Amino acid sequence: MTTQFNAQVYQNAYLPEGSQEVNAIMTIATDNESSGESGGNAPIGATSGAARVFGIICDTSGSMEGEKIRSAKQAIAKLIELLPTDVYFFIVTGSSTAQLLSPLSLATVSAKQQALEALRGVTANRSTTISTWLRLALQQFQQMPGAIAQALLLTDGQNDSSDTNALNQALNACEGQFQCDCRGVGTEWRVAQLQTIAHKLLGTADIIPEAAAIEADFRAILGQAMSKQISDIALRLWTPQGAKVMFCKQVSPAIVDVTNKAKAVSAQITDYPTGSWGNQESRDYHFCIRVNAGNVGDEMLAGRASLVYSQNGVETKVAETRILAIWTDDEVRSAKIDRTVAHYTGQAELAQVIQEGMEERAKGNFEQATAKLSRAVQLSAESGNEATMKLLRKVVEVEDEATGTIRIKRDVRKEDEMALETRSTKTTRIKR
Amino acid sequence: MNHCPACHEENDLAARFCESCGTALAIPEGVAGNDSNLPQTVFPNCQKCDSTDLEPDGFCNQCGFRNPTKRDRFEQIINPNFVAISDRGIKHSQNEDCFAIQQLSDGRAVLVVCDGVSSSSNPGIASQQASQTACRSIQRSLEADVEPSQALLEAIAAAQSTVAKLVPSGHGEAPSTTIVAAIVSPIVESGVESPAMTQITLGWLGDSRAYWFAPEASQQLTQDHSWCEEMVATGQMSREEAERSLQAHAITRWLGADADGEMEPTIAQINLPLPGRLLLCSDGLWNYASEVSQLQKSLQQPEGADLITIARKGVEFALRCGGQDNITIALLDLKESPPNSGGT
Repeated sequence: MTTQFNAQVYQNAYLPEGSQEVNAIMTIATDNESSGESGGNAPIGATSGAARVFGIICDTSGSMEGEKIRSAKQAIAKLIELLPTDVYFFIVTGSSTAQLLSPLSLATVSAKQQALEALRGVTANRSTTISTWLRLALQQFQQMPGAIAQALLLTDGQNDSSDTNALNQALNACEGQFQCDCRGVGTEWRVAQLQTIAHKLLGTADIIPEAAAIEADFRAILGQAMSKQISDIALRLWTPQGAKVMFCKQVSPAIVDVTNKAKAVSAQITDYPTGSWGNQESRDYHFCIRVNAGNVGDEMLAGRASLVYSQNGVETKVAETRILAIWTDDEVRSAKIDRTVAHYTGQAELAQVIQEGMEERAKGNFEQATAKLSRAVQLSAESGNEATMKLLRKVVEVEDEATGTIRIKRDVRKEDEMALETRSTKTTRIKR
Repeated sequence: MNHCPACHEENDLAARFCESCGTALAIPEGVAGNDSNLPQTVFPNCQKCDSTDLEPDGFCNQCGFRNPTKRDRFEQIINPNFVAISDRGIKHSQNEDCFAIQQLSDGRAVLVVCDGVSSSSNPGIASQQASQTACRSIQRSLEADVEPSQALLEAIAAAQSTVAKLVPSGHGEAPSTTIVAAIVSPIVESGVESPAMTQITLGWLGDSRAYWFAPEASQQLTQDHSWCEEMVATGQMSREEAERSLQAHAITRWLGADADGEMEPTIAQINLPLPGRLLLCSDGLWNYASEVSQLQKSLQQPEGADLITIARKGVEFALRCGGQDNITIALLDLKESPPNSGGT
C-alpha cells in the first residue's frame, strides 16, 4: 500500500515595499492508491509494510479506585479484543512505579487471553509518577525499532510534584521514539500537564468527563492508530539566506505550535517532526517567514516546504511546494490577505483568547474574561467553528454571536471548563 | 499539455508549477527567444548575491531572489530591418508581454504584440499563446491566399479560442491578453509591385498599439479599446475629462474566456508611402511617450544605429522613465525599392 502526499500552498505572495513578513498555509493530504474500503471505520485492520506497536499505559493509582478503574479495565479489555492480529502490543499499568502487565507481544489469540487474565487482577492504589510509566513503555518500544510506535495514556490525577524533573527527563528520552495520545478521566487531572506530555510526544490531549465514555474514546484512538501507514515524517523547510522562521504551526486539525521542535539540517534547512501519517489524513501548517526586503518588482523564493521520510535507509522527499514573495507598489494586490491565511490566523486568535479568557476568569477578573470570551464567540461565529461555540456556550451566555454580546456564567461545571481548555485549539477548515 | 519533469504529471499549459508535486514547470517551448532545453536564466550567477546555484527558473538557492530568465527579456532579429524585443521592466515581477514576428517567403511580414492583463491569472502564458497562435494562423492563411483582413480576423479568433481554454489558477480571473497584429504587404498594380507604397493591415483588441514613422507622415495607426477612447469616441466626454478619470486606461476589449461576444477586433487597412518604420508596442513603452513625435524621438537614437540597437534603446528609455510595466517593441523598416518589404 502506497501513501501519496499532496500539498498545496495558499498565500498572497504580493508584499508592499519594505515589507519582510511572508505568511503561507501549506495543506497536506494523504491518499492511498488501493483505498477500496467502504464506510467510516475501515482504518482498523489496514495493512502496511512497517510493523506496528501499540502501547496501552493506564493509571492505576489510588484515585482511580471504583468506577474509573472498572471502566478503564473494561475499555482496555475491548481494545485487546479489537487489536488486529498482525499488531504488536503491550500494557503498562502505573502508580508510584510502573508494572509491565503484558509484555510486548504479537496480538495473537493466546497473547490476548493472557493479557485479559492479567488485566482482571489489576487494582488501584498508591500515587502517580508518570515518568516511570513512560520509561517502561519506552523499553518495550525500543525492542522493535523502525515500527510505527504509538501509545495511549490514561490518567485521572495530577503527577506527583516530586516527579516533575524526572517526567521532563523521561519525556526527552521518549521524544521521537513513540507517539502518545493522552486522556484525562474525570476532572482531577491538570490540563497543562497532559498537554505538555501530548505535545512532546506528538499526540492529542483530551478530557473524558465520564468514566463510561472511556471505551468509545479508546476505540477511536485505536482506529486512528491502526490507520497510520508511515512514521517519522518530517516537514522540511528551506529558507533563503538571511531569512528567519518566525513560527511554524500546525493549524488543522488543531493548533500545535511546532516552532521550538525545529531541528536544523543545514544553515538554510529545518525539519519539524510530524510523526506518523495515515491514509486520507490531512493537516495544514502555517509558516511565517521573515525575509530580507526586496525592491518593487523583485520576486523571491521565501521558502520551499516538503515532507521527508526514510524508508530502508533511503531519504525520500515528497510534495515540495514553494512559498513566494513578490514586492509590488500596487496596493490593491499587496493589501489582500489570502482567505486561508486569514481563516487560520483567526482560528489561532480564537484559541488564544479562549486560553486568556479562561485564565482571567479563574483569577476572578470577570471584566477581562468577558472581553476575551466575547471576542472568542465572535471569532467562532465568523469561522463557523460550531464545536468551539458549543463549548463556549457552556461557559458563557451568548446574547448575540455576531457582536459577541455575552455574559459570563458564574456556576460552570468543572468538566465544561476543562473541555473548553483542552479543545479550544481544535480548528475548522475553511469552506472552499 | 505541460509535462512535469519530476513526476510526469500532465499539467495544464497555464500551470507554472506541477499540480501533483509542485515542481516548477518550464515555459512551453516556442516562446520567441526561448530555445526549449537551454538553461532559462539570462545570467550564470545571481544578480543579488553572486551565487551560481540557480534553479532553471531563476530562483537563487542561496538568497532566494529570482533572476531574469529568458521569459523576462528576449529579442529576435529576423534581419537588420526587422526586429523585436520584450522586457519585464522594473515594477512588474514577471514579463507578461509577448511577441511573434515572421517574414514570409513572398516578402510579406507579420508582426504580433500581446500584453497579458496583469489582474488576470497567468497573463504571461495568455500573451505567449495568443501571439504564437495568431502569427502561425496568419502565416497559414496568407500562404493559402486568404485576404489579409480575413487572415487577421481568423487569427484573432484562433488566438481567442486558445486563450479561452487556459485555466485560471486558484481564485484568479480567466487568463486574458490584448493583441495587435499587422500584415505588411507590397502593393501590386497590374502585376507589378509598387516601389513607393506599401499596404499595412491591422487587427487589434485592447491598448497595444501600432505606429507609423515617416518624414512628414508619422501617425498612430490603431485606436485603443480603452474606457477613455470609448468616452471620447461616443462623445460622452472630452479627451481632457476622460483622461483625468482613474479608469481612463482600463481596457474594454481583450482576448480571454471572460471576453464576451461583443468584443470584436477592429480591422483596418492603410496604404502608406515608403520609406517608413512600423512599430508595434505595448503600453509599457507608449505610456511614457503617447504623442507620436515623442515616441518617434525615443526610437531615433542613436542616429545611424542598427534597428536592434534602436529597439534596445527604446526599452532603456522606458526603463529610465520608471519601467512601470512590461515593455515590448517590434520594429520593421520599410524602404523604397527594391520592393520586397522588410528588405533582405
